Amino acid sequence: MRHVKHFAAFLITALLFSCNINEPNMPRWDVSLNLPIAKKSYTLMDLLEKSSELKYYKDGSNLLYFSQEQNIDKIDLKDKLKIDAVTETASETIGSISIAGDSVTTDIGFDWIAPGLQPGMKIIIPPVNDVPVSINTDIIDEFLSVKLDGGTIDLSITNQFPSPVSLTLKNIVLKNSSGGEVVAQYSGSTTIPAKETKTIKAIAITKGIFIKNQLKLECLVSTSGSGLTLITLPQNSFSVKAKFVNLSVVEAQAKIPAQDPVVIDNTITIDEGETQPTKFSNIKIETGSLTIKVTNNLDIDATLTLTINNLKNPSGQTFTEIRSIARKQTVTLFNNFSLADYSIVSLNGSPTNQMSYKISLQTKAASDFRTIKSTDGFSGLVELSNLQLKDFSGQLQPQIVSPERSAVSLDLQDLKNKLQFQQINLRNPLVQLRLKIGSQFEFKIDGRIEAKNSLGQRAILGLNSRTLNTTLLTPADSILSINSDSLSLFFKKFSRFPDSLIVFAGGTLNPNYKTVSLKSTDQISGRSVFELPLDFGIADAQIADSVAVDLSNDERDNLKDINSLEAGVVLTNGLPASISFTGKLYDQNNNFLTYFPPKYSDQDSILTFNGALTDGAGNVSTKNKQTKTVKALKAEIDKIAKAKYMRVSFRLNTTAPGNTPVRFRTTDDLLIHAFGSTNYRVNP
Amino acid sequence: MKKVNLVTAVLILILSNYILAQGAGSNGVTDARSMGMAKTFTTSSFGIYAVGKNPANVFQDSSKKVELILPIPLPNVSGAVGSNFISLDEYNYYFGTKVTGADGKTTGRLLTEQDKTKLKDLFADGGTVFSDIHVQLVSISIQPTKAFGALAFTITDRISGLMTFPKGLIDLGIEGNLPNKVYNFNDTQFKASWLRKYSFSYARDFKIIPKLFKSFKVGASINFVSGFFYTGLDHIKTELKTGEANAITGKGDFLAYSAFSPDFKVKYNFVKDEKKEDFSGTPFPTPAGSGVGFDFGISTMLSKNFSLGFSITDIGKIKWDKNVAQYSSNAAIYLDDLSDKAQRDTLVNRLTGKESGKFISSITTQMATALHIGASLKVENVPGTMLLALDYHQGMNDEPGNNKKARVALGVDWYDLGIFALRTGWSVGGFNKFNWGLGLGIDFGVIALNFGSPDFQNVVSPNKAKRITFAFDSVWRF
Repeated sequence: MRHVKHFAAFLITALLFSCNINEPNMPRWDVSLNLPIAKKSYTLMDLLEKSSELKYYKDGSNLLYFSQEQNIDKIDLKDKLKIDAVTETASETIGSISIAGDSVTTDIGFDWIAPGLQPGMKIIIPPVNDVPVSINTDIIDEFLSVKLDGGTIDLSITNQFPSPVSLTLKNIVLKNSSGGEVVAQYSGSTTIPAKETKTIKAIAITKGIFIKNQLKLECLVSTSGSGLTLITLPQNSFSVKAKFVNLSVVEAQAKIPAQDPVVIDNTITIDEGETQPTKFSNIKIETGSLTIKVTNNLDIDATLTLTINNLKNPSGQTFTEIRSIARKQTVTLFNNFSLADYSIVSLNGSPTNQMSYKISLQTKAASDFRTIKSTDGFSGLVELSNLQLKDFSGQLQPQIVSPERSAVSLDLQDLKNKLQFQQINLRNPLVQLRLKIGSQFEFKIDGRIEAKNSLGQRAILGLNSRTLNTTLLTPADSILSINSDSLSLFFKKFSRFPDSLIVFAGGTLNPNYKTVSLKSTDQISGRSVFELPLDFGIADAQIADSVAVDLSNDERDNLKDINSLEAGVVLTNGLPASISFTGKLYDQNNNFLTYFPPKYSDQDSILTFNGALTDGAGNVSTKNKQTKTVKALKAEIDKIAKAKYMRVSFRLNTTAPGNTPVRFRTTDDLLIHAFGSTNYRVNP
Repeated sequence: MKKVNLVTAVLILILSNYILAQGAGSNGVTDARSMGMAKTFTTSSFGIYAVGKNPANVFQDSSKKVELILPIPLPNVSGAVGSNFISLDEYNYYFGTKVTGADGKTTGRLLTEQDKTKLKDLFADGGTVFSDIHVQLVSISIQPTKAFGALAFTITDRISGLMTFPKGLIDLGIEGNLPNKVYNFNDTQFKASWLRKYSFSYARDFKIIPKLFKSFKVGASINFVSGFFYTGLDHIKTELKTGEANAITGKGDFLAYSAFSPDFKVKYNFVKDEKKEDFSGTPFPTPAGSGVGFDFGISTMLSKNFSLGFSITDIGKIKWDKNVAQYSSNAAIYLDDLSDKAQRDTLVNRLTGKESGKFISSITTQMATALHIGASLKVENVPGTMLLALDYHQGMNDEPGNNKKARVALGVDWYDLGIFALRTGWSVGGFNKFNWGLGLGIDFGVIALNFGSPDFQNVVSPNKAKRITFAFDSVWRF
């Protein structure tokens, strides 16, 4: 029994104190892993999905092309629709002046018969022979003097004696009473029976003399007498009336009555002297002004009527102005009068470069004596400022358009800085300017394209008939294409892509002087299209870039557990270019760590895969399958674990000999099959 | 190194579970007395201890009419935790070693090639870890008269589980994926469950052919089983191979089920409901499944001292119909591009069935049906009395507590040594292959205490142990 108790106690003691369980710590061990790393197929079609600029031709060729379209800076026509300023002066003289008061009269008494005879006396009139008579005529109220260069006098003589007394007058002379200048002279004789009037017509007036206000009549009078008849003396023996006929007054100091209107009927000529002047059918003015000044050189007031026939106000009414103008005054009818929204129209609908205007001066009658000459008149000044047009319809003078600069950015992203090559041989590149002409006119383009890259290499390509499919843009034909040969030669000058093409586009508007309809809002706009088919040969192209080695700390720690790594890469190259790759790994302080693939005595740091074979057209005919092995030992793997970034370098050479272009199509692909073995330290 | 007291660990295990000392299956833990006899019980367990083993022996030739199992004075505990492949020493060597590196960091042991080979060899016969805990709160048996027979009622909780690591997975983890070698995981096993069995037993001596049989007892139990959770792998035929260009091929093929009591608030990954509910543990959860099972037994005495017995236990099925989920995979595996996330995800899905989960209406699992045949010989006046028992156990399935490998056990109960009884026994076959049991009983008349373990060698040399098996209980007899 006691033994049983002891046995039981021993059991319990053994149970309580004889076992240990240590705190768990997972062991570490090395294990070999054989893993499929990647099996990827990349077609060039995949690139399309990642790039908005890369497209492919859907004509069955599946050829890829780089395409960029950009708007080019607009060419506004606004400043091309203009008419240069025109100044026109004209003058007109009043010409022949008409005056009132065109006759003088004088009554002759009896002194030539015998002194002391009075009207009413009854006497016998003795016969008289060639007795001189000289008497002043009455005063003409209407003028003080006039100068004539033409005219006649009709002389009417009235015998006031009763029968049987007749009179005979001869050597009749009319002269200025004050200066004695002979105004008119009749050397013949004329007999006037009693109580009759006889008129001597068209006695020529002496030209060039001033006819003063009062004239003197001189003549030789003869009478047969009354015989024996006792006659009662009339009031006067005879009277003479001199009537001026067809006077051509060149100068007068007179009360000038209203004269016939003096008219300037003239035209304003646009682009005078030009061989191809701008001719309008209908113009609407946006801005511009009109200045009109009229100078009245006459000594008489007048009423001025101005009409510019081609100029219509916004309501369509002809431009007209009526104004009074005082004598010897200059009146500014319009000073910078705004012609906005005014129209200039051709009166017959056909294009013309002339605007007609008419200034009519209607003199007013003067109640006082004014001195006026036939050479007096008025002058007008019409000034049209530079007109900016809103609408133009007509024949526009060909206008030179200064080149506008537009940059066509080649958005090759980083390629333009990272891709360098010995030479690139492009086949059928396309640069087009697709222009839209906003109205019905032609435009002849002239300009150039310049490009420069970061290496300082430059090239210039002229835009002319040698390099373009056409230089003339019409509403029907507005696409300009640069010849692909010219472009190919252009790009051959570069060993690095330029970052943009600078297009200088100018030219001539309406080069063929056609009838056009334009608005100031019209413009030439459009797009530049740059298409680079991936149909090229490239020699020794190098792409260098820097990529971040984006590993988390855990991943870097896991890398350190890799003892060794060997990977096989089977690359089936369906691209028509050989690819070489190498990388250099650097730490955060930019210290070089190792090459990738690592460099060993039996392993190069450059991986090269030959390109696919191509046929005569440059299409891939046979893919190239190769296997390469890459290994990394512990020391290099530890360096890779420290790497922060890698400088990668790719080298490309198209496979066709002589840098002949090859074609990159959507169906071209790259199959990468990578698998590897690693000795890895498991460290749970 | 930090030492963990084994007993403390067991006590923690005990406190977290109810305790029962009723066995199940051909291999599961049983009461402390049987455990001391290397789990021999077909003709050597009597009265209330016969429930779940041989119901015929519920009827016993005893003056005691009532037996009662209560948590006092000693709660009834039977527990087994361990593996069949790694001992404590081996665990400490591989998984319990710290090494301090030059940088001051502590890591685990760095395995040499020899270490790796030895570790692989540990799994040569499969690497299984298991846990089998029995809990009994209360049991009662009544034998009013011999003519009447005996009635018994028990409530048994069993939380058990086992998991077998496939050898292929171990090879893969230790040596990596060698080219052209096929790694299959067909030997993977996984099952875990929590069952509560309400047993009603009746046994009686039928006095059949009294000339031949001194007694002929027949007994039966009807068991109403509630399942609170079940997870199990129905089958797995997954395999992987690394072929040309290191492409990984194979197939993912498995079928797994689970069912949980709604009270546990378990949320499956395929349920999109964002409502969060914490896991809720309760000793009386709503069952996720239920079933009815039967035990049947015969026990005869050919002479006063020689008995033969036969029983079949846990004939029945459990139908799980609450919160039942199925995960499966039956598809080819192909990985030739590790950088391809879709391929990686497909591989993971086909291996784990992560995205295959779905609710199903129900599943049915077998109870741990087992056949038991035994014989015993009583030798009196040794001094004391010695009962020698020989058992043959055959599990009909691999449900927790059961094993299809037959087990033969020889147990000895040396009692009537005053109040003490010494027990020992040996068992070969079955899951554990060999057991050497040892136990102690103290019978105070009204109350008896029992202690036992079928793995005495592990008690003496626990660091060599691959498992911990322990049982103790108490019974009141009136």
